[in-house]
Amino acid sequence: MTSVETVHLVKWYESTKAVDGVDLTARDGEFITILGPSGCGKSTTLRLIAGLITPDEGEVFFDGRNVTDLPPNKRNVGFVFQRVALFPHMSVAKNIAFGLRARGVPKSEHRRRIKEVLQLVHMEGFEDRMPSQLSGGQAQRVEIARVLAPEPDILLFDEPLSNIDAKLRDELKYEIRRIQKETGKTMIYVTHDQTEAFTISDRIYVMNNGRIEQVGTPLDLYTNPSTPFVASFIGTSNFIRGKLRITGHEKGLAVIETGVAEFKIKDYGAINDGAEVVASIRPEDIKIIRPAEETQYLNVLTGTVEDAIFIGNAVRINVNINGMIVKIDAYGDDRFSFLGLKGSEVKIGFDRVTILNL
Amino acid sequence: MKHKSRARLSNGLHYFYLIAVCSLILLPLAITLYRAIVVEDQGRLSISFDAYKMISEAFWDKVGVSLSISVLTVVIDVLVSIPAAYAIVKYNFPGKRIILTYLNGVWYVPGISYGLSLVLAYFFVFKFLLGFWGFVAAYSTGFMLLTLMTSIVAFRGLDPVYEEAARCMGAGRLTAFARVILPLVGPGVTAGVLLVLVLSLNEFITALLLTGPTRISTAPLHVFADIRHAGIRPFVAAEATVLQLVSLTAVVAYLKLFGSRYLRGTILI
Repeated sequence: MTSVETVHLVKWYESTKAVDGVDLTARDGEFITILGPSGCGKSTTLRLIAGLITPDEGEVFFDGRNVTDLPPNKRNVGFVFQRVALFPHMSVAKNIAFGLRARGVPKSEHRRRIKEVLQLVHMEGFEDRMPSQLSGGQAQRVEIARVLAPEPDILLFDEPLSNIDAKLRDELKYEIRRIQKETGKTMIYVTHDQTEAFTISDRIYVMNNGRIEQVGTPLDLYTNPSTPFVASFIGTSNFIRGKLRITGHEKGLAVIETGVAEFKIKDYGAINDGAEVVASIRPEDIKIIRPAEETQYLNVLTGTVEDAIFIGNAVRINVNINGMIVKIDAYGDDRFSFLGLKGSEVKIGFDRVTILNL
Repeated sequence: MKHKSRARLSNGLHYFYLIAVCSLILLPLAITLYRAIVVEDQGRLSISFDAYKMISEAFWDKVGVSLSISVLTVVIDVLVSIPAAYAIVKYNFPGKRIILTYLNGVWYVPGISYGLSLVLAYFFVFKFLLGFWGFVAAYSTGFMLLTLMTSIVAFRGLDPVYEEAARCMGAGRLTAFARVILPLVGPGVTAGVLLVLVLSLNEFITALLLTGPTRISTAPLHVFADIRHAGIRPFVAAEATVLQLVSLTAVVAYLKLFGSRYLRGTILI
């Protein structure tokens, strides 16, 4: 097992700074994910770690050893690419043996190792198939087996499931997590899909415009997004912008005055009275309430239902509060009853308001 | 019923078109063979191979020379072109666009002008490599564009992910190139190899210009000389068919040795 650390990685592509001072750490046996939108620099960061490209600034360390100047074949990493990279002129067995041979594994061991890794990805019996005879999912499994065979210290995944259909993608992400747990390898996974990242990661690095925006466990990121980008990229948020006023009526209680409504907030940290703030409220944290329930919530507001839409496992209700649209996601058994609320006046209640860093 | 007969007619027309195209290509070759083996005696036609017995020893020697020059030209061009094409595609360097423009531009220079340039450069300016190796050097230079450009196209079409995957699995640059990249660009390289093989075997204009300074004569030049002195007689047609047969054999041999992996589906494999 090996730890990975990058220190202030910078990579320019002509006049574009693709990676802008990325500091990242993956501990021994940890599964971390770099999550971000297309073009945010996450794949470039992964390629810098693999040694496929060299940084303009910064360093990469494996177990404290500086590997910045080592070529990829000297780093002992396994890299699973977005596009299946099985060599089309070699059978499955020969594809897997390629890495074994390149890493100097004795030929007498090849057969056993090929069998082992194919078993691990549930692809026994496919040794003699050519890559063109495999489906997308099978090819990606073989790709993972091929990468595992030479026993790399670190496994790097560059959006390996993005070209696979939804059902298989769902299955394979659990497979990858299972393989990580069975092998105990340090893995760094790149994706733009937050569900994928949440399912498999120990920690997630959220990346935007070449920079790391926030690091944390999936739960941390979801419940305490620290920037507007993280709050909008991970899940859905209602954003409010206003002036923080410390009321003094109750310890630790403040109000965000938006001009449209007042939002009470606890735990506003070290922010001074009168500061301009942006805060987020998750749609699933807001409830449509009956008059008797008003006392149960810190914030109670009145508005008119603009529309209520069935979105599969929830009903999305848009409520107009003095011109501000607040999104609410209803998940309970009674959610379908909200579908007929369009035009009605309702009361909404919620507690959690999270102030974001600007 | 009507639909079926229309489909049959459409298929028939397609088939007829293909036969017509193939006939156009094969007709000159068939007529040459006819001239070589069909003899008319008092109004009766018969087949005879006497024309082949009349071919001189000197012609066969020159077939050997032509074949040697072609094979060496192919080997040199492939050895030089493949690394050059790889470097041109993979790396960015100042003047890359100018080099590519120049390489493409050479295609449009008339053969006689290019042949003359080679003769002037090699033998009258540098005054070296006379004789057999001079011929090979000039041919290699002249035909290198064919292997270089087809290799460039092949490398451009190759997804860099294969090389990256090989490198990440522990392969050095050379291993990745030899075991992964080269087999994958095979079809493109094969196209260039076949072009150089056949064209250098049958090249006439450059050979005519080179024969003076190098004192080397090739089989196509021998056939030309025979046409000038004896006219299109059966033994000259026989020589021409021998050249065709040598070209075809060289192509089939190459495909059998190196091409089977890439050119499955042709009648030759």
